[in-house]
Amino acid sequence: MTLMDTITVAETERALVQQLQNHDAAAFESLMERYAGRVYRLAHGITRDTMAAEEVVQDVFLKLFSAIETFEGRSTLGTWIYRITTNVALNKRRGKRREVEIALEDVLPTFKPDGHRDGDRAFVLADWSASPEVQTLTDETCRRVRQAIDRLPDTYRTVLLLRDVEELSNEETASALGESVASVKSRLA
Amino acid sequence: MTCKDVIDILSEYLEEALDATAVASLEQHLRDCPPCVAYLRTFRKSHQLAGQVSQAPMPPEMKQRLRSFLAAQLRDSVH
Ligand SMILES: [Zn+2]
Repeated sequence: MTLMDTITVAETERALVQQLQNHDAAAFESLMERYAGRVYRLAHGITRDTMAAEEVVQDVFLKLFSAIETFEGRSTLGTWIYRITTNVALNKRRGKRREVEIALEDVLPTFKPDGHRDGDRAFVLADWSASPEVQTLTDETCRRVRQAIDRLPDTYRTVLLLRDVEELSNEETASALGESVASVKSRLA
Repeated sequence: MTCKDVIDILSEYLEEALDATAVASLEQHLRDCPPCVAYLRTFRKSHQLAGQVSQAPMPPEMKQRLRSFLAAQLRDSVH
């Protein structure tokens, strides 16, 4: 994106926020057109369930309606929407049984005393490095990757979704989660 | 630079968000540390795959339901 593009996007967004704060029905329609797909994708990634994701999307847009007046533009509208979506979706997951989750220490990379990595841990699986840069994924690879993502604790999976699917930077991901960049990065390795 | 230092800045390295000095010392480490090179490849590949398999388009009928739901909510809130 060029600097001019960035400025144009920022201006369009500022105008949209202003219309939303004036309860302009067309602005809400345009907000939905622009963000519903992304909100659903993230909600689905976190909840792993179509019905739960639909409920999350409804809740998120209701929250957006009622909270738009408090939006001060300290983050971008997109980051703010991701933040609300993450909160609503993680809350929906809380209290659900976490049968597939594995212990944190099995996910985090570990280090030997000299600082060298110890063993092959985490979502980042060693045997993927050997695979050629294939263009089309085999069903088997997809299945294994999905399984690895499913087994991650919710908050780890959320970081992965924000970064790898929504393509947020570490800073934007941290802002969407209300956490530090260091804490985000610790969940990527 | 230790392996742990490398891992700390790996995502910035792949995003090309590091300054030249940091890039130089990271690449120096990579020249002498095959495990970190393997890890870098795996890291990049894993996150690429994670992005590819997690696409979930919203079903069109759900979008329609959402549109009606929100229109009704909006009407109610105006009263
Ligand atoms: Zn190393």
